[in-house]
Amino acid sequence: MKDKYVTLTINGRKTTRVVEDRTTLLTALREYGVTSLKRGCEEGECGACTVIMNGLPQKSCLILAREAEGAEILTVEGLVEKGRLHPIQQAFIDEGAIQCGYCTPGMVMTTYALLSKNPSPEEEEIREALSGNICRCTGYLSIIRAVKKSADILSGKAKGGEACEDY
Amino acid sequence: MRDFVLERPRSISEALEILKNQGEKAILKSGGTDVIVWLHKSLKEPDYLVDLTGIDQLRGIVMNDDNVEIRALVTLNQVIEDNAMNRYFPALVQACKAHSDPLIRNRATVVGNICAAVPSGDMIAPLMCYDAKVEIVGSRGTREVPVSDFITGPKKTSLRQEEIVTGIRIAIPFVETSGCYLKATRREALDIAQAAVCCTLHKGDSREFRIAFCAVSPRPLRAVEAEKLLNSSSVIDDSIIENAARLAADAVNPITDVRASREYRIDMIGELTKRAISLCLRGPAEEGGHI
Repeated sequence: MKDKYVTLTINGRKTTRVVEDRTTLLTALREYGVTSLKRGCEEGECGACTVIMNGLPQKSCLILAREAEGAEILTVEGLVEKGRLHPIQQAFIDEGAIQCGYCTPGMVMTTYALLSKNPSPEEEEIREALSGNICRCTGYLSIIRAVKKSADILSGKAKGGEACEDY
Repeated sequence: MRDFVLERPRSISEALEILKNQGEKAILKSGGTDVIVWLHKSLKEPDYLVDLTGIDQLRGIVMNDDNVEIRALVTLNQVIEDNAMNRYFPALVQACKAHSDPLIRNRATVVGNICAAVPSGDMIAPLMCYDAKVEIVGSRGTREVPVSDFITGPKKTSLRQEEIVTGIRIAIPFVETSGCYLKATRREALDIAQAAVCCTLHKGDSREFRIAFCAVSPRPLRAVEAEKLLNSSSVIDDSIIENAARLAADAVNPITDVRASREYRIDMIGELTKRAISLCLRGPAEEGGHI
C-alpha cells in the first residue's frame, strides 16, 4: 500500500489529497470534510453520494479518487453562498421534502444538474432525472413538488421563501 | 476493498505494456460501474487495476463513410444524446435509456457492458441486431470479432489476457429502418431485465427483420426461425406475428433466478416479441422501453 496524490477542485477550492489507489471519491471527499454526500449502499444503487463532477451528476462511490485528477467537484456545500441556502435547498425545506435527510444532498445535486440543463422540466422529466436517487422515507411526492418549486424560483416565475441567514 | 495498484495509462500502447508485464494479475476498467462494485464485493481481487479512462484515443463516436465506431470510453448518455445514433440505431439508444439510471449512465460505457458479458447486459441484443463488430487490439496486432462470437458465456468473452477492446463498429444502414428495445422489469430504473427483446426492421429492396434477446440465454441469441418466417412472408398479419412470437419463445432457454422464473421469462419473450414486431411495423418514431 503506497500513498498517492490527487489534485482536484472541490467547490471552487483547489486541493491536493493523499489517497490510496483503492480510495473512492466518496471516501476522499468525506475525509476532506465534505460530509453532505452520504455513504449509503456503496454499490451505485442509492444515489446518496451523488456529486457533480465536471458538470455531470455522478455517483461518487463508483469513482476512484485518483480518477478525479484535475476534476471540478460540486457538492451541496458549494451551493451555499455567504451563508444563504441555495433556492433548491430552501424549496426542499419549504415543501417538506426532507424526512430523515439521508438522501437529500444527492437529491439536491441531481436537481441542480437537471435544472442547469432543463430550467422548466415536465413532471415526467423530473421523475426520470431523479430515478437514480432513492428515498426510503417514501417522500417522492414532496420531493417532486420541491423540484418544481425550485424551477419556478430559479426561472423567476415564483418568489422563494426567505432563506435562513445563519445556516 | 482489497488493495491494488491503480495504473492510469495515457495511451493504448502503454496499457498493452502493463497487461503484458502483469498478466493475469491485472484487470481492465472503463466506466467502472461494474468493476468497482465487483472489487467492493471481492468478486474480483486483482493486484493491478488498469483504468482506461485517461486514454484520449478511446473517446468519441466516430462516423466514417459507411460505418460508425463507438469507442471504448463512450458512455450510455453520450449515445443517447448523439443525433446520428438516434437516427440510425434507435434500438441501441432505447437500450441505453433502459439501462440503470441517468447518473450511472454518465459513467457506464457501451463497450464495458459487452465486456462484462452478463446475459442481462442491455447492449447485447441491439448490437446483435445491428450485427456489430468488436474491435480488439493486442500486442500481436488488431482483430475484429462479431458480438455473437465475442461473448462466449455468462461473464466470459474471447478477449485474451493481453488484449483491449478499443471500440465497437456498426455498419450504417442506408435504407429506411425502425427498431425498438422492450425490457420487462419490476421497476423502471436501476433494474436488471427479467427478459428483453430487441427488434429491428430494415426496409431496403427486401424487408429484413432481426430479433435478439436479453437475459434468456447464456450466450447472445438471435431468433433465427422467427426472422425466417417474417422475412419470407409477403404480408405480415396478426397470425404471422403470433407464429413468429411462438418461434421466438421456442428459441430461448432461460433460467429461474431471483428476478423471474423460467416459465415467466419464456412467456414474456413471446409477448415482447409480438409487441416489438408491431412497433417496428408502425415506423421509426415508436419508442420502446420498460414494460
